[in-house]
Amino acid sequence: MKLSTRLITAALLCILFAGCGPTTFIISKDHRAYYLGRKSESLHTMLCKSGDLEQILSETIMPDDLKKELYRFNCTEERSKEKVISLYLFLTPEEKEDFKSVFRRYGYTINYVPC
Amino acid sequence: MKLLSYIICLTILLVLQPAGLSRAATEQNTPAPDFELIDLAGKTHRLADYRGKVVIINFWASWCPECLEEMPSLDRLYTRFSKQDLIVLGITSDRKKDPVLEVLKKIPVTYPLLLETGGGVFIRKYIVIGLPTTVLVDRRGFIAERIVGRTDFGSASFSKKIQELLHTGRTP
Repeated sequence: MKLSTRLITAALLCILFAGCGPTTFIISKDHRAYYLGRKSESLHTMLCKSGDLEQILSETIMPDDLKKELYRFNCTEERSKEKVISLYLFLTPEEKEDFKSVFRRYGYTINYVPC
Repeated sequence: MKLLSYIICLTILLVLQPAGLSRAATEQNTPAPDFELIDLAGKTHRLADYRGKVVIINFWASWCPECLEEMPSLDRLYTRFSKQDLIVLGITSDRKKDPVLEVLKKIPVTYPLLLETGGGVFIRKYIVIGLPTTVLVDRRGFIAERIVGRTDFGSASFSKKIQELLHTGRTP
């Protein structure tokens, strides 16, 4: 069985048994993958300490207030997975697409889990 | 080997799995956060002004098909119970009037549609993590229930729920 088939099966099993809730999207780089907004020290290092998120946000088309909030909910003491999800949901479809494409420009892969 | 790759992939997916809808359980019977938003006609609506009534807050967006699907049944519910102190407020995440007016042409609802331009109510006060989201607020101004996903507001069970809230202040 191909790896892709196994991945799809695994995802279906995940949906079936775990129940897939609301989400943002998966970002992956250097064989590490995370949902944007997840509370994780390695994600914090990858996105925040590197300065990547700040740069990425500065290039997106979303309103400045939302850029600041998104940075705050991902990278500061106010970190909140639920608020990141909520803010992502609040973006227009165009802003969501643009946000993902800027991530790609910075070498991130979107919605791929390296197994 | 195959089993191992299944286990690895499944583990990764489960670890990546975001939080579910646990918020709904923790906020029940807590005061509904107040807000002040304007509707399409420019009229200001404050949640606190509706204390003593049952309020349905419906979060939606013009780009969300499930939101649009439930709007007609929500409007019928509003028409049926508005004389018995039921208020319906539709809060859209569309930051401009135009897409909302386009929706109104196709789905001419009669309850007020409020514009949420900054995200403060949507993101900070109610932390909406799925669309549509419906929040039922009782006469005391407390959250009775949060429903994430499309709802059939015309169903017998939902009507019963609203009647209970209107008459006893509790959901069945």
